[in-house]
Amino acid sequence: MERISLKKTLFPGLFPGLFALAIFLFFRLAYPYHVYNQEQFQLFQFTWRYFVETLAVPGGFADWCGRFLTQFFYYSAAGSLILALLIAAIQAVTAKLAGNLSPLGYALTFIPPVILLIFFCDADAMPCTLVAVLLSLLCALVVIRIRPSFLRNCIAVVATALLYFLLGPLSVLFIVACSVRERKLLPGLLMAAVFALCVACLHKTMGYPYYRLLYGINYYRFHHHLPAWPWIAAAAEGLILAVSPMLKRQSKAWEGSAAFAAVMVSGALGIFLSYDDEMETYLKYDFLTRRFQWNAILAEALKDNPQKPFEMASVNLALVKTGNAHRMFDFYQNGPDGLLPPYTNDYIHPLIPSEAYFQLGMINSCQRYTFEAQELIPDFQKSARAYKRLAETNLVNGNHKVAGKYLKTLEKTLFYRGWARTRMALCGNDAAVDADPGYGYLRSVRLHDHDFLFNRQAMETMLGYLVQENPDNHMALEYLLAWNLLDKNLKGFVRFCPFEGYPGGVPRCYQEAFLLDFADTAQSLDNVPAFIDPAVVDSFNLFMREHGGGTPPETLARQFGNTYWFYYFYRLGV
Amino acid sequence: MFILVLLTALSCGRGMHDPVFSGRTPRIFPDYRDVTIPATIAPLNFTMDKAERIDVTLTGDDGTVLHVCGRMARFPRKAWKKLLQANVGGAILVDAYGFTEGQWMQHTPFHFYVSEDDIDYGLAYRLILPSYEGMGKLGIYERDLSSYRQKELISTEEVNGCINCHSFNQCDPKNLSLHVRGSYGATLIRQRAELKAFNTKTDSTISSCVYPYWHPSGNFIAYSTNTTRQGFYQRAENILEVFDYASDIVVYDIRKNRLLSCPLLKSEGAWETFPAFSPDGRSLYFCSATPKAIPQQLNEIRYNLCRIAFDPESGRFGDNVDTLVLAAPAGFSVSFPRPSFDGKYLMYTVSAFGNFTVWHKDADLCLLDLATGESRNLVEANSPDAADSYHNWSSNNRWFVFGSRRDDGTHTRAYICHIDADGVPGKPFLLPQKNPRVYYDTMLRSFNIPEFITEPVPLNSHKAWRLLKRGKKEQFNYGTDIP
Repeated sequence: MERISLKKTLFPGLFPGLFALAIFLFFRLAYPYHVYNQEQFQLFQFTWRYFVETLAVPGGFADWCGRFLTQFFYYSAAGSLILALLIAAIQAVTAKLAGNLSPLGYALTFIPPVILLIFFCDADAMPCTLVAVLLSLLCALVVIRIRPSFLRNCIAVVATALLYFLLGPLSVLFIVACSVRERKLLPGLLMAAVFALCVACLHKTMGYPYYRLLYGINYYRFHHHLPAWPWIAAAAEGLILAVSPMLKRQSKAWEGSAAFAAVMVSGALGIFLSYDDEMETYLKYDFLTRRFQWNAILAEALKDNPQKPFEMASVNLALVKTGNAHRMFDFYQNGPDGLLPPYTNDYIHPLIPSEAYFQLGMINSCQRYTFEAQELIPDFQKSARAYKRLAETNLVNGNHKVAGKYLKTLEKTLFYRGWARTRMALCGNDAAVDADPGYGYLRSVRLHDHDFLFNRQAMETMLGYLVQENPDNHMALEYLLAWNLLDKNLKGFVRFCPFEGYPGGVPRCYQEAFLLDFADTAQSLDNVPAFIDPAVVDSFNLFMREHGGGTPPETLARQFGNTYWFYYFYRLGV
Repeated sequence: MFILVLLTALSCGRGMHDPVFSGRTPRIFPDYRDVTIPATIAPLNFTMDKAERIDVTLTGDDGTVLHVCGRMARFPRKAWKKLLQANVGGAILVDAYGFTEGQWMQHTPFHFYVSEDDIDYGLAYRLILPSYEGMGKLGIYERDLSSYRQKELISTEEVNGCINCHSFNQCDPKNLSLHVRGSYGATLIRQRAELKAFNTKTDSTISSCVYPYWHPSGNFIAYSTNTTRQGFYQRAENILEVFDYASDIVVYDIRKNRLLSCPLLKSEGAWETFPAFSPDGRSLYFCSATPKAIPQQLNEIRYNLCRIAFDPESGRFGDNVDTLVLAAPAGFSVSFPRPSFDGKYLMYTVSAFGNFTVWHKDADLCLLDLATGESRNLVEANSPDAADSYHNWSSNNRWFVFGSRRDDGTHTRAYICHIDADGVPGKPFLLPQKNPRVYYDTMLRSFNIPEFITEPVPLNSHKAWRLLKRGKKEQFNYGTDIP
């Protein structure tokens, strides 16, 4: 058999590079909003206090490093690059630890990082996991080079305890890597005993239950349902290291290539199955809303045809913000929930409605939704996005001391420092807030005379008060009209719609709604008001004939799918 | 230590020169000017507004001097303790200089008055977000008042839910009642060193038992059962309102595992809440309001302060209810009655309406003299434009702790106040922290229901959660079979 040296193959240089590039491209092109999403649910602060508080938990150092890196996910490209480098580095260090592997053995070292990549298709996977794995392996790489063996074993035992506290239970990889290299039972047993002792001591002293100490406190955002992927990856890592002596036997180059291809294909399949398209789409609208990219939202909506209420809330907000509220029935509408969705008890979904409330001038509701979302972050971290918004709501409401507290914390961050400093200049100065174009406007359109308890069932009334107190709050008027249209409340719509002052004439969907109400009470359509386009009347007559004649909705949708009439009769919005 | 002393000496040595007299006392945070403090309190570190450096000299009546300087006044614990112990019953003069914009300013000195009255070991309180529906991380904590040490007793980190309504028997933490809501919900009662979990909801009561208050004998706990909701205001001035749609009062007989009540405490025509036993155990104070339509008449719900007799031997209630403070006709509402343990006074909160006063900016503390029946507003302790509420007495009745939002209007902080034998309070002081500016700027949770404790709370969080997760809960029985 021909001896195949690994160095003679393309593996050491090309395949890891391609692997890293593939990961980068995956996150950058196929999963960018998951990357952004990681960043918005943390608030990394450059303070000693934050460092100490993060470190005070088993695995805290890995967590701190993970959070440090996550702040750069503010830019999707940077986040994608960091994830790619971390995952690729795990493969490289694994290969280094395993020693002079055959091509087949080398190909197998891609298995753990591929599993971790699958894990990171989950929006709640924490980068701390990657840091813990990588640092455990790197420490092993350093320790196994120490001579003499007694000193090495002593250091390994001490490091086991230290690494458990710094990196969490994935530091068990350090034990595996050292033990495999040592090939003696005693040091491995000693390290395992120290590891178990650490778990027991921390359970006793810090009060964490065993399952969390053994799974990892910060590897996953939720504490109560924990995916197995990190530990499947760790098991694969341990197994590869354990059997690495056997993997040094000769193998043919094609075996290595085939194994590599098999790992990659399996990984691709795993990613395909784990890819959360629904969440990525939602996060896209959430991100675009957060960055006020209204036109981009509409462009995406034309491509995606979103149908979920929270996504539609983003689309409808974009329509109103761009002056295109009358185009709302060009998109699939699913009722009032798609305009101002009801409160949901989670940390992601309240954020889009909170933006709508903010823009409307319903500052307290915005504050409530934002606050709730932040406090429901399952790992109890704070959110930079929420802090920004809460600083703003408090500034607008004149709670300068509270706003100052949020801003002071934001000043300790890398990417929000500048923003916070500009707002801090407004803090404590009502005149400056009034003079600010954004906040001053919001102050002017808030409710000043009426006060009431938020009641979603009375949304029409609440929006009505906003319009009544501030006739210049055009957005509130658009929302009021849209709410009534989506709620199929024609009387309410007709009561509030001005039917004048529209530069290009009354928008068609408003005419359609008016006509529907008019037809309900009038004897004939002969004396419709002048603002109704005769073409709309003809179209209405045609629609009603088809509708009354039992034409299937699918057929009607082709001609009338973007009319209010079709929504009124065929959408299950209400 | 030598290096520390040297550094302190050097930094102070660079120090103060050619000060200009400001003619006023310094603006410090927390505002500890002229406060009355117990001799065992942790050092009252403070910062001075806009001062880059400060230089503070404390001089006791006995001549003891303590000098610190730096960005904040941070007093060494041992020297502080020694200074306070040497000046019990006396005063400590605080001479503070601040360095602002290149100029040292000398301010009018103020005092710390060191009371002869002891204070309890510590406080127990809940740290909770100042709103809404989601609970985030919340927990019950204890704080040693002689240091800055805070210990988590139980928190929601392990399970989703809410922990509320902790109560001890006259500051004795060995008797504990604690309610947990959520998937593992139960009421934990610790008595005679035994912790048990109970399901307190019965077919005859409208909800689980909340707002506990121990009978001095330790044999009964008074609770209210409430249908509580919250709503969210739309204008900037207010954030939210918490209100009841219904409420009754029950008394749990621990020895016989039965709930006691009577028609006067379960009336259809009144909402009864916030029960509190008198220190002799023979009366039960509570608040009572006439039901109104919600939300239309929310601002018209006003609670009176009432009292009913209670016989601990038989478990019987009296046949009539006395109204001690007739608040409703006068246009205000009473909540949270707390009698002093010597039976002389009863402290309560007044606000324009409702009973959840922590969200009412007008909420103030009042003191009712139980001998004369006269009430007075505790202006010395109250803040003009922020909620002051949720007060509790120390075991010797010479201190009370309460929650106040005077700091920023949103987050409740724990203030401790001395009160003399004639019911005259001193100036309250904010719970001291090692670095108060950083602590209170970054602590965005509220101190809820602070309560004095005479010793550390013997609650093992593990055992408590294990007990809750095991799901074996004893059932409260509703019983009227009183002979």
